[in-house]
Amino acid sequence: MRAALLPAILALLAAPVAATAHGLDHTVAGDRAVVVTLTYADGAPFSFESCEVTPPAGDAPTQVGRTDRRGRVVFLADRPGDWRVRVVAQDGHGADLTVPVGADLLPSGERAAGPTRPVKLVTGVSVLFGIFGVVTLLMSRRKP
Amino acid sequence: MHVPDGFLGPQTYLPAYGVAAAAWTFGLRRLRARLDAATLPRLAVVTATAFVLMMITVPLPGGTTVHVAGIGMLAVLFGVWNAFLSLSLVFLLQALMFGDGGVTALPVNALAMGLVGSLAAVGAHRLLRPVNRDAALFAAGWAGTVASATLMAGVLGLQPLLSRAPDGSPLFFPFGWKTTLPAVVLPHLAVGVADGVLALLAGRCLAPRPATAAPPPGPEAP
Repeated sequence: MRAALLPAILALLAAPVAATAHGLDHTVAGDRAVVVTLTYADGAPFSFESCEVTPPAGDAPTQVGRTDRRGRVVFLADRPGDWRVRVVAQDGHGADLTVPVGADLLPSGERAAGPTRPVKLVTGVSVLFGIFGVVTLLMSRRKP
Repeated sequence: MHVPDGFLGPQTYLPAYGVAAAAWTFGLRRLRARLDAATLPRLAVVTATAFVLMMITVPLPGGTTVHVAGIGMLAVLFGVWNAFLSLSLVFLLQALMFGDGGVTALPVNALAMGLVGSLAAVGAHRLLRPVNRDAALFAAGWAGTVASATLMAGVLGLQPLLSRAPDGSPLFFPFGWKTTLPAVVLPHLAVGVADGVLALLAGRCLAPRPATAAPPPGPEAP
């Protein structure tokens, strides 16, 4: 009887140790991250779409997940260089971006959004009419 | 529907550049031989209209956005090859100047929307024109958009089969046909309706009037 009691007592003593082995410690701290914000052409956020972040000269992504509700990919760079951020939607929208990170582990130079839509419209229409105008001139010279 | 850089592997875009280069060469030769100076201003205006329309995006439920492309409009008014060249010019401009659509993806965008879309539009138009002129114009716009979207979904869904990393993960676009076909084609069934209306309006309002008989020669002015 005593021989059977000893292992039972030892098992009971070990039980709390086994339980804490399944626990998960955590810390909370503020840090400075790289934030890439993605929007559609109309300004709507590129929300909840697949994204992956690959470090400089890295073969495998170090972060895989989804953009947040505001269309952001947020990551903490642990080395300087060109980080690759790829975002993909199932319908073919997306981008494959290179984000240069400096020695301070922050983006080296903030990248502003591209030209606004009115600027794109005016520029594009002007260039198209310019190209067609040149072709018309060339044709009129060729065929008097 | 403009595929950006990094979504298509070289197994796709290198052959596509070869096919597109042949098509561009053929189209340009045809343009030089057949296009007259009177058509060019009209082609310029409609191409610019297509460019503007592509920039007007409409948000859809689920977070994505779509836009009309004017494929059927261009194809019905100017034929397959002029539409292909015009749309290719628009895609080149968008890729180089604004980053809308990739440079590596340019031939796929041009072939899918410019060539296959135009072929589908003209095919639908010719098929239905004997039945009803307006229905034929509408069908041209719808078919051009849906055919382009279907081909684009097929090309995107092919990528995971063509290129994989040693660990099995896709190197380029990660979703297969089960995902791309509904995700790309279904919204464009609705966009096709808008493109159909656009082609109908363009076909009725912008098509050149039939040439009138030349007046009989009169006495020359002194």
